[in-house]
Amino acid sequence: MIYPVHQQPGAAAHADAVAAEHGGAAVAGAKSRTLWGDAFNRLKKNKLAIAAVVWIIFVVIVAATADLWVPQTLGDPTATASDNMAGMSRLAPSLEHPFGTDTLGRDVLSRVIYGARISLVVGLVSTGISTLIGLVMGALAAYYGGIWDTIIMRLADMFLAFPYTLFVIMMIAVIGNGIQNVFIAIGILGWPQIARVFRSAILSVKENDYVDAARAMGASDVRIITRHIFPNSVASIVVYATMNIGGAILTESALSYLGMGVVPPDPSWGTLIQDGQQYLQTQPWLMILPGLAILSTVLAFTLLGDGLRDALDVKMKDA
Amino acid sequence: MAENTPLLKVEHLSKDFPAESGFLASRLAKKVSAVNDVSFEIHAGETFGLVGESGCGKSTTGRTIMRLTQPTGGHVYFEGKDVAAMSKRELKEMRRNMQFIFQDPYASLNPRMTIGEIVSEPMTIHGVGTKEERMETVRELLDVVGLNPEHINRYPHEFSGGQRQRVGIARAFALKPKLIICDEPVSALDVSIQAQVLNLLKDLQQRYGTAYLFIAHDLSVVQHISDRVAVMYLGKMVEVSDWKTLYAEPHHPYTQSLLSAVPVPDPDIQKSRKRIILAGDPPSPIDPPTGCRFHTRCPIAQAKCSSDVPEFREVKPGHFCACHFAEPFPIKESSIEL
Repeated sequence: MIYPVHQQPGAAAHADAVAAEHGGAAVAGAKSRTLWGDAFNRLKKNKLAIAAVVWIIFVVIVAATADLWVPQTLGDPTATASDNMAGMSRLAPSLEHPFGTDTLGRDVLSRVIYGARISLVVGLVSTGISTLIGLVMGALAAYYGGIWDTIIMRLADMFLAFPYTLFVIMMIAVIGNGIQNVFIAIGILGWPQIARVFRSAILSVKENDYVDAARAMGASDVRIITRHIFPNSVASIVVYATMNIGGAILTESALSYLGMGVVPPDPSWGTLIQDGQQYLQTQPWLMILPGLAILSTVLAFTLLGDGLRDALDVKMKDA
Repeated sequence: MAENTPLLKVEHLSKDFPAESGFLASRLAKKVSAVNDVSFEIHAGETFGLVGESGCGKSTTGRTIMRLTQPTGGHVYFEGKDVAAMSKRELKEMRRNMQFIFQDPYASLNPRMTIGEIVSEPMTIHGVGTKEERMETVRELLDVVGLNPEHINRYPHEFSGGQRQRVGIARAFALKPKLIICDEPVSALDVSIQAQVLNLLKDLQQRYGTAYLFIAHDLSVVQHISDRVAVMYLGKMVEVSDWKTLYAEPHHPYTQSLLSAVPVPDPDIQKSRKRIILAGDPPSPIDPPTGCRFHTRCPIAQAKCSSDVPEFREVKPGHFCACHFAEPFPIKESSIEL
């Protein structure tokens, strides 16, 4: 290789070359964009993900505003037998009761809407708990390595070796049922997956020179983790946590179906299915309609997670 | 600090990596001897070139000096203070004066930070100035390294490789350090851009009086920028001299073979030149050869070379060489097979 250095007669040629380099970039990027902004633009092009977002927003709005209109128009979702008139039991879907009524004469749509509140809150809160624990554990394991890594990851393996649902049931059996305990049980038992995903994301980010660069500047561990490692590894957690919300909703439904979750008369999608299953042959909507509510919502979170994974992938960035 | 204390003094530096590691690995696992008994000095304002082929330990030397990895033997003194024995606070203070420029301009800038945040980060960490003052300094630095100060809010992915390397250089100079370790700063760049970046580094050195430890695998790059040059082979330093002497009178057969591989930009001379072609690949550093580590490939090796480790001795004032048969041009023309 021959270096043109020697031939360059001083600064003039140097400046020209620099100017040429400048020009290239000016054409390439007229205005500054952020990586999150780019990700949002990519997400907008994914029709399935947008449909999922629309559905989730719809469910959230309906559930959040339920107190304002559901009891007035559809009826009290938690009424007991004595409150209801005879002849209202297990009516077929109609304009007045779009999802029909249950054995106690309560409007099923009203119960599905109130059930959505519980499902969404369980999904978000328990995912929040598992994500928080998982992030701390994963960060400790990956960043400090060695004995920390061994202890935390073997603990995670132990958690993962138990059948998940059985583990949750066992925990509910110990601490008692009720909605707070469902949060706690699902939240605490969900951390190992998050910790694993985050640990591996950190391990790959940690190898980058910019982490060494920060260390060479004299940055503290906290700064390196919060400013350099976390922002570059959080994308996988956003994806995983989104999908985990769907999983938590399913687990809550399973627990309520088994009578270990929400305490009656509060409605949950799981209890609705359990109530409805004995009438599957005569009044199938009692089970199928709450089932569709679970299906569509869990599917929406999974599709959104998929969309986020594609949108947040930095490697899809034009190099 | 005394007048004649070198800025950086490296004494018998060694770095071994475990070849196998993990929960159940044997304590007797083999180790990779990446750097072995390396000593040199760098004085304020000078450029010390470090060359060698891939895997010879030159980057590890740089990283160990910076204490990005812990040395397993020897000492590094920065301004007379032992780097390995520094407290957290002293280490932070040292890092204010010793900065690093990385090889890969794509991996060395955090993709989620703006150019302004990246270049100002050293100042932020060391609490230099207010936010406005730091941004003002960043603009000046960007201008000095030949980037448009208007691009302060852009992200690294919007820049080319050469421009990113300029950002990395601006960051390294943000605290006006006394020493910058340049770990192959141009080898990931196009040849035309290499020249610009080298010229920039030279300009900045004149402007700020910074010393460089300049690591490269390319002798012509090192020649262009260095005052003194050291040649490494398989974790050992084999020859050190000012670059003119080294290029004119290489004493070590390895140095000589490296120099013979550098093309001369004159077809007539190039045609008539003899090339020394070394047989085989470098041996594995897990199990380095006994005696002189180069003897397995050395065209003039003798029995002594496989048993005795050659001393790193001063063959001429300021010219050190680790070879039993060190002399100018030890490889005779007749002994070269082509």
